[in-house]
Amino acid sequence: MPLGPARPGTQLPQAPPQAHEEAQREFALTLSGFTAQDKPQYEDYARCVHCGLCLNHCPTYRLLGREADSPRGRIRQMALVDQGRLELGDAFVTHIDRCLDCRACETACPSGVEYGKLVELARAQIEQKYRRPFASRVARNFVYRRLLPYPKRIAAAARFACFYQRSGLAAIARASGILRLLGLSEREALMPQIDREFFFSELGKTFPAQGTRRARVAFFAGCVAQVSFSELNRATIRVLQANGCEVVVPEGQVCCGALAAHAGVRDVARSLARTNIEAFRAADFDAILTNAAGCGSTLKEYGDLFPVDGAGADSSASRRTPAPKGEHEARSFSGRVRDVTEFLVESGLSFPLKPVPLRVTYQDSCHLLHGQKVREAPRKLIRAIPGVELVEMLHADQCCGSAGVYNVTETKTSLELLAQKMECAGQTKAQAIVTANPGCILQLRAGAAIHHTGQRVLHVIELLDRAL
Amino acid sequence: MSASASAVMSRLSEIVGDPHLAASAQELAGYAIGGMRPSAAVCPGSAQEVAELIRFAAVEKLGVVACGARTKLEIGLLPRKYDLALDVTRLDRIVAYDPDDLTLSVEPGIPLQKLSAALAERGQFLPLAVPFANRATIGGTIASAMDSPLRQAYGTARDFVLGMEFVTGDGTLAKSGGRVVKNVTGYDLHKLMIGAFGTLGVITKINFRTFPLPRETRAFVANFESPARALDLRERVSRSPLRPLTLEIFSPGVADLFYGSAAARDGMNPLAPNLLTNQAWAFTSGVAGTQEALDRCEAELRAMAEQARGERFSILRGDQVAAAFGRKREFVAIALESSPAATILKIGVLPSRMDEILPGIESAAASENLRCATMARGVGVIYAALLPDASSEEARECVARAVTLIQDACDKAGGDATIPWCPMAWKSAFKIWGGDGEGLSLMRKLKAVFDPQRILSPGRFVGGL
Repeated sequence: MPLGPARPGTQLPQAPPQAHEEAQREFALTLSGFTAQDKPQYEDYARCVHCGLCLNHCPTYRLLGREADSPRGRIRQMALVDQGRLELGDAFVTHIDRCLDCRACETACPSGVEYGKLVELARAQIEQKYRRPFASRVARNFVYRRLLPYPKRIAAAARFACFYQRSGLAAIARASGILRLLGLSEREALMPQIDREFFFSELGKTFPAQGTRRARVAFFAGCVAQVSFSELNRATIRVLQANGCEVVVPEGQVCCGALAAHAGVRDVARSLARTNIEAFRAADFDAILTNAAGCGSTLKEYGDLFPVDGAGADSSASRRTPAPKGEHEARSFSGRVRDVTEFLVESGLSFPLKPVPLRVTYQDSCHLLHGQKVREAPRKLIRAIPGVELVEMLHADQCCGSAGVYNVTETKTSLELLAQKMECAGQTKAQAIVTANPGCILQLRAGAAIHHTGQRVLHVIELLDRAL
Repeated sequence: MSASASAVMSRLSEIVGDPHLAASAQELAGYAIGGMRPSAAVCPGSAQEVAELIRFAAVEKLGVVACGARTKLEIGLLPRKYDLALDVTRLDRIVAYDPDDLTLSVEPGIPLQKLSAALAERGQFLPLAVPFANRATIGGTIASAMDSPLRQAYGTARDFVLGMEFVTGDGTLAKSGGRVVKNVTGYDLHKLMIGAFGTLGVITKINFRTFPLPRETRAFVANFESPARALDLRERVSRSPLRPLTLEIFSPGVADLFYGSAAARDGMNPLAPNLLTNQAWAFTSGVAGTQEALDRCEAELRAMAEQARGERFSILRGDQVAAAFGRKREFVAIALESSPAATILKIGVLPSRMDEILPGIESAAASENLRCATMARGVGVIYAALLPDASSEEARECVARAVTLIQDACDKAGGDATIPWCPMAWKSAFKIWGGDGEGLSLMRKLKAVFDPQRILSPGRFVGGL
């Protein structure tokens, strides 16, 4: 019924403004294909103005040339699902899964869309609302919920993998051609080489600074890195010590939760975050350092895992972990996190460097460049080493295809990106490809092996360590 | 015109005023299309006068051809009847220009050069680097939908014409669109006028959005032994984050044109030696931006060209960019001057399928022993110039056979080839508007609505429209 103007003196019943907003929210939810918890928020995805500047920065768009596999297209799909105009089904999952989460689009975006956050939330929705095929469910459940959160299980799995690699089983498998038969030969090339000595034994130790102590820092050691990049971790500590840092490796630290968060398994990521915040709470560190760009990016964004009012924190997770930690605490933790290259450039190198005669090219790690916006720091460190010649490669800012577990879940796309990367790296005629993240190192090493480029792959820190 | 010719003339003079009516044979020769002269030429001074003229022509069923600087009247077929040349060069005002809003409203008769100068004062421009740029008017440029090397970055006129005022075939002064960048009201009827060659209406005002002038530019040239490799580089660039202003691939035959006498025109700077050779395909691309951006473009274009196995890279700066850009812009004009019977095909095809056409053009020309020069734009537009040495009957047969081969190759690649330029006498032998296509029946209906008396450039366009 149309209402005429109110007669003077008549009071129209007024709903409290809050109730109105609530009703609107409730109404939107009845349409939305998303659940209320961990959903891409309207305020975030509506910042996209569809200009398309991100398209050619997106590795999957460049490769596949399809709008649905571009950042703009994926954001559109999220909006459509949220408005109830697109089913959260196979198509949606395919395109969201195919995203590398490299966040190159964030660097290109003039509107400041936080795409990484959006795609992680979209994946959290897929986790809640979509039933994946049986094998995928089992594998994801095992990796994200049963393996990565538990250091002891990682160690056990590593010992098993180590047996495979060193007992001659791997050689037999490769020679027999069974890997090729199973279509696993390329994936096997991606498998990390397991260390003889794990890094777990160093947890809880403190390493003194050489010379005058300039800073006291905490070192975040990672999860898989502790069984396959122990030497890199030790090199990191050596470089920091040489630079006058007292390095503490706090006990009780666990996986950063990046892989879980990227896959949409937010409850596990949150619980890991809580454990880490607790582990690094105690001491008065000048900074919390990591040598893994992927971890660093997640550690710096712990705040995003916890909604402002703590409402999104699910009960099951909070029961398992100590006291519920809010967004505030997460942000103060994140504020102290630095990538080790960033930290070294900020504090300045205080030790003399020996010459290392090597022609190198630098591959930007996506979560360092696009996630943390650190571009110059690793380059400055490389240039600081006498004898090192840095040759920039074409598209150094484009993802190598590693992207966490992407090279295992979307192997075909990943290998195509890797082939492009190796073409560009090979063009520089560099003897070594330098990067800043263990995941990229694995992928690039596999690339060098598959394409027989003969190039070595090093972390920036390993290069510095050689110059010590 | 019939016995009432003098009555018609006096009415025309009444509308535009005596000084703006031309009827002498000498004056009218300047308005000839392929030797066909109008009976009168008028220069109206306002949109109202244009409307009045068209209303009168509709009543008298006079064939009217609108024109400006007359640089492109040779495009299309001969008019079925040509009584009146409607010269709009007196309509040459900038009606409104709002640099802060990046909007502009002009009359059709304004020369491009004059307009560019006015815009450049405010650091702006229209990305319409079309051939005959030193003489052409904006109206003819729009009516003939001339494209420019800048379409790589800015698109065509369809992308930045905001609105128009035009007179339809019954003399109605109509408006479409507006003068704001985000105009969304009504139908975009003005877009129909772009490339209609004056068959749907006479344009009396055009509104544009303008663009800031690029501050610094550089150009990159690389040579390739085959078109496939040059196209491979095009593909790589199109998938990279670079956004070049221009991207053209030239066939080996272009070197002779660009270093020849026809290119030394209009005070254009000479081109640096050895940029192009008649042995190689050349990939050329212009980029704009800050020093840092230009350095990055330069390094990345070079690296991508290496990957595509290019050779002999050059970077052009300053005057050299202008010299190269001018030749790109005037490709058609230079080609027309270099042969008495230059026949130029304009081909539209998906960029990814250009590799099916480029070698075919070369082999078709070679099989007929014709000189040939091809310019392929990165967006999928190819200009192929067949350049016979004489305008003889024999030459016509050679060209006709080559054209058939090329048009067949285009059909196979899902493209379409028109022939905007060739000797007027040859036109009846060619499919100068390409295949009829499925749009023709719609175009006929539009023509019937916009120009019911069929007086506007009758018979000049595709399907006798």
